Amino acid sequence: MILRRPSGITLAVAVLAITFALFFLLPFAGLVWRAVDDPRAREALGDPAVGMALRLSLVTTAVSVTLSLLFGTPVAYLLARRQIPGGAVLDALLDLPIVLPPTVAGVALLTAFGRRGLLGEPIEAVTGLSLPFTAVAVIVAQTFVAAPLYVRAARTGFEAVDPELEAIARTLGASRVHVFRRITVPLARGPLLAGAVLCWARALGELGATLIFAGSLTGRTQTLPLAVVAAFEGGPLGLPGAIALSLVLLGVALILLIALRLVAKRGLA
Amino acid sequence: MRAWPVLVALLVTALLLGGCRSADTAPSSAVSGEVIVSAASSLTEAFADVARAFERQYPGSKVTLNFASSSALATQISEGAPADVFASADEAQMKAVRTDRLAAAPEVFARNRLVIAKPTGSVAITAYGDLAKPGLRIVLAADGVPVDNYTMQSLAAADRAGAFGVDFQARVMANVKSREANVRAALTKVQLGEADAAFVYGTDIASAREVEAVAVPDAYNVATEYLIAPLTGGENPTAGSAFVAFVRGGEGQALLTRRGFTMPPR
Repeated sequence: MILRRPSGITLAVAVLAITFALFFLLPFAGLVWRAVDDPRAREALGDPAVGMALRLSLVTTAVSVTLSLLFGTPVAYLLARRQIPGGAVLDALLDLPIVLPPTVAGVALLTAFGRRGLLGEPIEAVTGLSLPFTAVAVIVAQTFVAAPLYVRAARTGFEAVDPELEAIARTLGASRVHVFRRITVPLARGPLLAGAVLCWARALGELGATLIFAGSLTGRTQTLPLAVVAAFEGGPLGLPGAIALSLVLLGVALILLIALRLVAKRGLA
Repeated sequence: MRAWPVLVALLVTALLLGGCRSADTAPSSAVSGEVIVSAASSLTEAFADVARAFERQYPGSKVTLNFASSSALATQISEGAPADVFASADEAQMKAVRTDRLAAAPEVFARNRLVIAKPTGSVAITAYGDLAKPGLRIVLAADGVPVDNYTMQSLAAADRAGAFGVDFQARVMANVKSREANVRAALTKVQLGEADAAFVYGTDIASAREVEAVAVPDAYNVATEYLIAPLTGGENPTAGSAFVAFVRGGEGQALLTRRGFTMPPR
């Protein structure tokens, strides 16, 4: 084939692609630019409130991801092997938090676990404890919106594992738990880790459900995204603070994404 | 020659770059067209009434209302959000916009007073002094939101008076469970029964269900003033000024009074 001058199609594709790339690049460039340009933004980076929000975000998301793995892994496996009655219903149910706006999730959580909620009211009557306005509520909100992402990825991963391999291991005398730990999980490692990282990223970005269900208080329930809103809406950190906090979130998200890429590579190897 | 894909691509790009804002109709001396009003969230019902009356008075005009905390609105305006009028619930946020030279001279157009909202029938709080009771769940508006500034003034006054024991303000603040985006969001947490108490305006209670007021004693209450000003960066300055005049005029003031706002002495 002889190289010709670029055709109309090639040019059109190039223009569209460059426009699209700029659309995603410019907002991040703007954020970094404002952070570098505005000395108050750099100053805000050192504000204790930023550190508190970062710590709270890291701790709550770590717990949320752990809970998602603990409860989500068996569910994902059962769904993949279609061993449970009502599996289709559960499957659809787990898709809901992914599709619904997080604010709806927040309102729904209140109606269930709030002080006048289906479960929240009897629990408070018996124990005197209530969920809203606590770090536990932050974790509940994050897990509610983020765990389904892990379950979806894990399920796909488990489905890709040949049941024959598990069956053979069983005939060789391995227990079910042993087979799961030594055959199934290692074979599905890539998708499992990718799902966990996605779950973590989603939990880290959680805003709407947390704001409604857990409220927003510095050091207690105010995670990084909530701190951005509070700063932007006229809090003491102000707009420079919102930019500084956004930059911190961007940094954490980048680290997670790089981790995801590394995991994906090793999963293929 | 396949030129159409290029044309389509260029057209799309042009639309993306240039079409973000539709062309406005030429400004005229007549009051017409869209007027964007950014107003404090406590004005939600009152300004909906005022907007309807304004549109009746000036056929061909259309009022677009944008409610949020005054502090959020001030940030939006400073960041170039389109608006013709700013109605702030305190002087500080109007000042912030004035400092950026984005608003004309503001005028006080209404007053309000602080009350404590509690869920109807709740016995967790029955008087101002109960705010410091250990275990009470209080929700306040976020830092910088006008109602929070007024709340802090009230608590500081009560603290100085010493009528409720030492460190009253600190003990109240220890009960704060959440900082909401604006006064209405704080009120919602009380309506839901999640919070036992929130500082709101008297007018907020009047338009809300499932809540009742606990009085803030006069000695610790605060004169809250609403300011309004046309914005210099607005697209429709004629209608913006007309809206400000309408709010300050007889009909506007009557509508505000009906919603429980009091009027500044002329």
